[in-house]
Amino acid sequence: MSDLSLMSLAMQKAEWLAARQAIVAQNLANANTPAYKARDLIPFEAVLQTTGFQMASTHAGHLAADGTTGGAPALAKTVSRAEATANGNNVSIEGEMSKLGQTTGQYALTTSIIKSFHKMIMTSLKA
Amino acid sequence: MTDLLLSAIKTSSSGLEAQSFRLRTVAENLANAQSTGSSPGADPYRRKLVTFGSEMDRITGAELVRVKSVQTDPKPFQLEFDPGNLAANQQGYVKRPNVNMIVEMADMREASRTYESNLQAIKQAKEMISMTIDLLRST
Repeated sequence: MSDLSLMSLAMQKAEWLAARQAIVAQNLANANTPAYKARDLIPFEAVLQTTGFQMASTHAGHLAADGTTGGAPALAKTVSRAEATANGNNVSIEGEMSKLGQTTGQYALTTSIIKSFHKMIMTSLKA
Repeated sequence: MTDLLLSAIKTSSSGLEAQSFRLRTVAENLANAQSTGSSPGADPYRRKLVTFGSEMDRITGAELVRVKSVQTDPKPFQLEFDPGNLAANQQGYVKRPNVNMIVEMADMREASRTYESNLQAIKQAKEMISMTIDLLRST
């Protein structure tokens, strides 16, 4: 059933993209709020490496987890750019707009992947 | 867990609300740019300033934006020599409102730019939701 992990991977990516959309919307809404600092999610690649359940190994004889991913994507927020305007706000509207475009594009890609994967499953079922 | 895309739309709409309030204040300032006092020596219209603040939304956990306070600009009024004016004091000077047209126009442009970007964020979130619904439709 390892092929189905593609589906769960795509779902995780979609969830991460939705979370990112929410963060970008928050940055844009607070583009004029004094002392507000822009936030971003940790990159999806990093999320993939950290969210798998990892068993603690305190002894050389302990078995390692097989590295399958699971759990919800970590929605850790990090403060990005350092430069700020006089009121302490560091949101760049242009930067956020470009992130917005990227997010929508990647979401389209992800949903198409889910769609075509589903089509493949249906083909094999009908054959 | 609530829907992240719906929370994005909610956050953006709070931004729209805050920016339109700001635009309204700019319009008030511009409309009253020439409003002098009605009695001799009286203070004219004082420019209004809007301050924003973030507010945590307890349901979605997102930080919405709210109008924190409306203050008046403490900048001194300009005096203009106009003895014929109703609001002129004994020396013949009239206090003019402390509204600077250029500053207001810049403020207006910034407010409308931020409004537009929030609107775009709502559009994109709606598009993402409809892409998700499309998954059901075509297969």
